[in-house]
Amino acid sequence: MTKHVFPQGALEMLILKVLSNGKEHGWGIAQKIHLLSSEALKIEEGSLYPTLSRMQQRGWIKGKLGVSENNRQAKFYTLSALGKMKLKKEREQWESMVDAIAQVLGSEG
Amino acid sequence: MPRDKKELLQGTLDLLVMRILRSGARHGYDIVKRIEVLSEDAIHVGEGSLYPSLHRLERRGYIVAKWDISETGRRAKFYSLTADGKRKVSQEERHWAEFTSAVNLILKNA
Amino acid sequence: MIFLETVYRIKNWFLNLVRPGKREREMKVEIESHLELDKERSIRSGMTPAEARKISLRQFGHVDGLKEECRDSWGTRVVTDLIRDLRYSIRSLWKSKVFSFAVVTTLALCIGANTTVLSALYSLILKPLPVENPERLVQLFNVVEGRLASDRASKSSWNQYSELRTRKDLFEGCALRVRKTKAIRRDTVVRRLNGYGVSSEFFELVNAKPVLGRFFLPEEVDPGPGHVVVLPQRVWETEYDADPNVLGQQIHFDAEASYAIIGVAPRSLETFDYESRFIIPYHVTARDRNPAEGRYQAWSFDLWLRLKPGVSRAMALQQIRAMERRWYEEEADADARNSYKTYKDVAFDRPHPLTGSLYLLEGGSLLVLLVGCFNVMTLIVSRSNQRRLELTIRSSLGAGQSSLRRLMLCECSLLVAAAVCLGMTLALSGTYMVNEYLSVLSPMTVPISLDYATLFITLAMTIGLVGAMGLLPLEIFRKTGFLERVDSSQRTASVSGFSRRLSDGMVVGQVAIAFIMLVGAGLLFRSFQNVLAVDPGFDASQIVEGRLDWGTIHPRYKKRSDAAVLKQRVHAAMQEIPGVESVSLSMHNMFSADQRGGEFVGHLVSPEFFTTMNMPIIEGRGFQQGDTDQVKVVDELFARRFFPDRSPIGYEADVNQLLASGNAAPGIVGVVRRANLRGLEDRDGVPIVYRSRPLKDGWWEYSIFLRTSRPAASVMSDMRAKIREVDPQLHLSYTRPLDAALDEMLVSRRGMTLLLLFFAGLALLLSLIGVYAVLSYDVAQRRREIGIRGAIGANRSEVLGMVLRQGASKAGIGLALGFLASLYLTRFLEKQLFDVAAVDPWTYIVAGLSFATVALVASYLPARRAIRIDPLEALRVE
Repeated sequence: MTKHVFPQGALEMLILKVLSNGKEHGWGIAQKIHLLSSEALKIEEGSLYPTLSRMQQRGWIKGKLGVSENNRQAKFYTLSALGKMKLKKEREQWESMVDAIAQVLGSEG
Repeated sequence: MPRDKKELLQGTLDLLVMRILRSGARHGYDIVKRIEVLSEDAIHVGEGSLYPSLHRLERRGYIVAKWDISETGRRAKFYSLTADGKRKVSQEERHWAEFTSAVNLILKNA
Repeated sequence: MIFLETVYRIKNWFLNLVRPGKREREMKVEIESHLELDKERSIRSGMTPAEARKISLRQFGHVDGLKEECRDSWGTRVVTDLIRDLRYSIRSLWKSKVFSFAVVTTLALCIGANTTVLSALYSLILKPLPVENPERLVQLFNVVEGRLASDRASKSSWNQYSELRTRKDLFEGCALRVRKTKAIRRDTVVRRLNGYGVSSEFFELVNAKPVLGRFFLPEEVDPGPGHVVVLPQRVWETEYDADPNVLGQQIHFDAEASYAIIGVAPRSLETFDYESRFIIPYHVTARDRNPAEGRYQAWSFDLWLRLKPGVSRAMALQQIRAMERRWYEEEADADARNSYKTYKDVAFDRPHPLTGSLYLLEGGSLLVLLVGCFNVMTLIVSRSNQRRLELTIRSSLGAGQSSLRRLMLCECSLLVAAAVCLGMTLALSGTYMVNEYLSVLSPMTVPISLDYATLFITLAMTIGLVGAMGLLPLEIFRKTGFLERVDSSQRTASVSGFSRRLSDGMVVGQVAIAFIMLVGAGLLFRSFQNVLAVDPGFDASQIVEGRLDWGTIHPRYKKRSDAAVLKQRVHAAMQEIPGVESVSLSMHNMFSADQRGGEFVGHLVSPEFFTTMNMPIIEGRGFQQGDTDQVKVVDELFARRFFPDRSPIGYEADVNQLLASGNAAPGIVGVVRRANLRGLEDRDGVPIVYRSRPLKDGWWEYSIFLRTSRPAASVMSDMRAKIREVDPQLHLSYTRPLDAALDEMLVSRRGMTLLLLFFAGLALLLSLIGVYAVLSYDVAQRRREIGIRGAIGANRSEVLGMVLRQGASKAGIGLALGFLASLYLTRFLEKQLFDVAAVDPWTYIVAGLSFATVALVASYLPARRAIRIDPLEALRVE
């Protein structure tokens, strides 16, 4: 498995997507991304938590303490209305970027 | 380049540059033009990103530079892929494909 | 969407600021739960709990770095960092109380002194007049040569004014202003108040618009006299409670018709005269209209002109000179020409009498500021060196250059802020004291205040101070480098060359400046003593003066014969006062005189004047009852100056006829002892020529001098009672004992001498603290060395000598520099000196010796400490 450096915004987009399915805590988000990508993507804690913090600052996601599955306290995140709008926007941008790159890569020669 | 402020990561840009050079040696301005054309104007590479990228690639031995005369008759630095570079391009293309499919997996699911 | 995002960001930023604990707690919980979950997963795949935890942590990387990054995103970094820096700074400064106190007080004193003096300088001298185009508004001075500043008085006349008015090619406007004193009766109380009379253009000339009502019409001045009065705004507000219905009310000027109030003048006029209680139209008299009448008359005729645009001052002055020349040639008659002889020139400027003193004071306070800054920097340098250990640890814990810089600046800002607050308080009280002083010195000036200009300058100064003080310690670190190894022996490692040279340089500078100031203050002090030692030439302690002015006598005694009768009655009445040994009259009051000849002044006195004043006749005779006013008695100074090798008796005291001898006219009949009637400093100033008028001559204004051994206060009240007996409507303008009057003339010099002595003392104290600080720091630094010397047998006196030599060399260089600088700088003091040379050797010697003595004391304490260093203790590794 190769280590990927996420382009700006890709990580936020994935987090938003995961949260669109329901509330989750940080560890859980990392797990989901890992599993859903067939273990191709691994998020480092060093990028995950600062990103989550920034997203919460901007109001994309909301954070609250709650009880996790092993009966421990954990911080859970949910998507806000703003976050939903952001998700749509990020997806569009991601897709157009990927398309553009594909065109360059797919050229002959 | 998409209208928003998204920027290409260094690695991605390096990949595009090397890909362009795979089809033949070019000089800097030409590389930029080619990327623009191929992406239908979606990706604009500024000088501030291009030349550091070329420098990086040269330093790592993936490309070499040579002075030559351009189509306008001027002297210009032409860049071309090395053998190492050719290998690197394939590798990075694979990585990119893996990455995008991984991300798309998540995007599609749920 | 961006808008929504911004709203969220602000809201969250604010919440984080107010409740940082919440986010911190959440972050802690989050990270811990993550680690737990990771550990559990590792355990599930078969590791032991301990291993699992270790792996989790390792994978997690730098937990603290992560936390920091999250904290960064909260956006409250700046504020929390600042608060943290502040708390640390306050703690740190509180721990070094002595240092903080010394720095704050030194800076506060310097800031306070400077702000006060600058405010005075600005308010009194530098502030532009509150008119439009102030550079075009000028006051005309007919200059008469004389030593005293008051000789450069306005001395204009209606004559000159009416001619200047016609020069529309030069001036846009021309106005006349004359000081007036009137007795104002309100109910039964009569008070003598000052005000002035103006020509009608005055208000327009100074761009004054009526606050209420109107100003004067031309016809109220000429032909006049209009019985109308304008109130200054201050008077309107205090005495009439700013009553809008004040117009039409009457003011009763004693012995004259009532005047109706027609308007209120704005505050801007206060710059011209703060004290005035009323403004009336100038009343033109027949005498004024006489074209041959004297042109350069009374002091109080002020002439104001507004130059036309494009007319330069030089041009205007040239034209006026030509105009005066023409008047002399064509219009003046013999009498009027006499006054022309006093005329030397015209000018548009007259420096404020306090100018020299204020600039001197400002120089002094700047020097003190310099010394203070040096002192503070020395203190900072030594403290910084002590803190090298602490700061090194901080930097190794990850504090970057910028955060250290922030910390230093924070500390300095705190110190400077405290100093500024204290300094401003000092400045406020300083301003108050100056105003007290001013009300004695020059009652007409507006009290000074701390206004925006000085506030701005102070702010600029403090920002500069903060910058320098804050960055200095860091500079030192850059040069000296951080300690490589933190170990105990390094704590007392020798100070780097840079900071050592810096402190030494500053101490030398302080000493030099303090010496200069000591010399200056010493010279002034000696001058002051010399002035006090001047023999006034008359017995001031036994003489009381009472004054009757024109405005009091003339309205009721218009005929000369009536005035003469009154004069005799007054004289007789005064003699009836018990305890009065002698009574005489003089037309002029003590400290002004008639300036007939430019080379000397004339005094018109009654024949017994010399007896009353106890002035011995040296040659010839005094006055006798039968003398006409052609008989003159000159004073010693006159004789010495104009008749150095022969007797002046028989000659004429007239500038043009000085060398004509033995005329039929009596001329000079005697020489009297020099009396410094114009103040002790006039000892070598203007000679006085006395002429006498018999009692039966009518005068309309004169001073009464009584010689008495009774206490002045009771004699003065007797005087006032007697005058009322003579005529209940009469009153004296003032009564005063002459020694008090002489003393008042010294107020300015005394004040300045005291202040400069204070500044010099301050500078001395500060520089000695500097010497002390540097030396004791030095001793502390060299403990090991001293200890070693002690251990290998150096005796106490050698160690003592070593330390003292240190102090002596620094002080010595400073003194030498100061000495050289004084030689050059004291020339700026020359105007203020009296009977002392600028390079008076005694002053230098005394200053040097006292400095050396006190420096010795300052070095003594550290030296003693050096002696007491126990070699064993010093060598022991801590």
